[in-house]
Amino acid sequence: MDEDYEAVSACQKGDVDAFEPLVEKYQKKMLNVVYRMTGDYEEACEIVQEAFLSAYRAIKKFRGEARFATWLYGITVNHARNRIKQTQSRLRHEIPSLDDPVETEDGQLTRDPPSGEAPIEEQLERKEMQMKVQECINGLEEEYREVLVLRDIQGFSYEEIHDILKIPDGTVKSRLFRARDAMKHCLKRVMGDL
Amino acid sequence: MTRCDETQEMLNAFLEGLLSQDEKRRVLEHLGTCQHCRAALEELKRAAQLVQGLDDVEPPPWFTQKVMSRVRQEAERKERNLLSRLFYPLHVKVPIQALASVLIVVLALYVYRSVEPEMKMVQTPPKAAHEDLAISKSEAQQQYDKAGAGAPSAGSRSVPEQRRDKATGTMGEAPRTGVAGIQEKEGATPPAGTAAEPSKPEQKGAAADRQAQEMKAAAPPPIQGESPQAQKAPPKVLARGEAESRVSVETQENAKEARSGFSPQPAGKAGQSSAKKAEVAGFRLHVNDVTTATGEIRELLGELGARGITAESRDRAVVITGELAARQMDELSRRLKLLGRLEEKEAQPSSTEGPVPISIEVSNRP
Repeated sequence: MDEDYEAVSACQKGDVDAFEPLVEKYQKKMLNVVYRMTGDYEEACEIVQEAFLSAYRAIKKFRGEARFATWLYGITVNHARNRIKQTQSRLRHEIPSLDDPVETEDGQLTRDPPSGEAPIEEQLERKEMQMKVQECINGLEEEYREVLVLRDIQGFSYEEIHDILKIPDGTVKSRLFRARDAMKHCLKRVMGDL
Repeated sequence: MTRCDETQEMLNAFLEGLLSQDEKRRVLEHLGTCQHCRAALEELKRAAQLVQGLDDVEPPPWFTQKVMSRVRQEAERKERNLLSRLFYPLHVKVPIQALASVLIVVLALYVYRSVEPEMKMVQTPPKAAHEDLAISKSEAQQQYDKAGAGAPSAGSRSVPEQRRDKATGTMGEAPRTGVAGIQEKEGATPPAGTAAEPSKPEQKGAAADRQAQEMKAAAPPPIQGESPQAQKAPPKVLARGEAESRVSVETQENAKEARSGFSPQPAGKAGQSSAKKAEVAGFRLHVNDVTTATGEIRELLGELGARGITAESRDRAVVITGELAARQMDELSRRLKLLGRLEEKEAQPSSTEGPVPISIEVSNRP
């Protein structure tokens, strides 16, 4: 039985508060999936909120064919895809500015509550490296990016990815291997040597 | 395809453990001899480590509250939408308004139609009086003379009948002692020869004319043929014989009862003028609405050609008196039954011709 069955059933009966533990439980993973797909923390937060709202609106239609988590991640990925398409469409019609902030984890660091600790050199290097990795992820084609994020970053099984993206297992694997090769080439390019 | 290309294509599957034993053995054999492919495998592993080593980001501390706030707003909006769908949305509201308008119109028509007959009843008596006034006096005089010619002589009546006549002529007029009251009594019970009073407001000229012609005829036509309204009457109308059987012969007891019910006639000119002896046909009618019924009875009497119609209020009843051709008694009885519960407390006169005094006491149903 779905581990979220009780909470989902309560929500389906109109208990709004029963949705809160589900938000608590899945928000982080959803946020990380979206953040790695978009590379923008603020945007990722908005997308995840929208995804939760969509899930709540549609929760009465959830019949339990898949796990609730899978169903929820599917909604999340769809929202992320749509937002990325909107952003790409907007960017095509706008002249890129050199002053535009680069959305990296550096930006996310400034949004984090100040830790009070002075950033050490290792942390800076690590963050810089992660920024480059994210840049390479951002450079992947969308279908490769989704699979890479779900499999290599979030650790979903092939079966879960198949349920979330509604694509065959073979397609998942082939996309994943292509994504990894692309990442390897990209990282070699941006980091000099692996 | 070179061996290196083939091996590097299988490296991802090799790392995932998805290769068959044979494929795995071939990859391992090649990697053992090819430095280039071993480097490619290491780069692939390193890239995967970098990707998998990305730090997780944390949601903002307000995130759950913000999401739940929006979810709760959504839930409230859904409830409001449900209510508004029932009462306010345009696609429902417009038909409801249209339906309501139609219902109001239908209701208004229904109320108007149900009230209309009563309004007509209320308006009828004045209208009838007005029409009567419009009739030329000479015509009325002429018609009444004709009708009076066929009246039986007063001398042929018995003494009790004379007393009854006096009583009938003063129905409900006990308090009146003045000249006006006397004059009215004279008008109410005109003698056969001199009753052509020009001041008979209730008499319709057409009805009088018809009655006069009927009086002249040797055999009276069927009652139903006399009045168009009679033809339209419901099929419950009693046959003439049956109606007659319901009218008992007047007895002295009845006459006494009538006198006790009516006020005694004051002495004076009226008593002298009503020397004619006449049988009185008395009816007692119990109705729901005395006023409406009185109007209808007056109209009915006018229609039947009655003369000298008067109406007096007594207590909670109204007593209508007048003179009606004897042949019309059956019709009168039948029509009165349609208006309420009828008691024929007086016997129908034995004669079938000439005017007969009538008294109809209209009272509320007990």
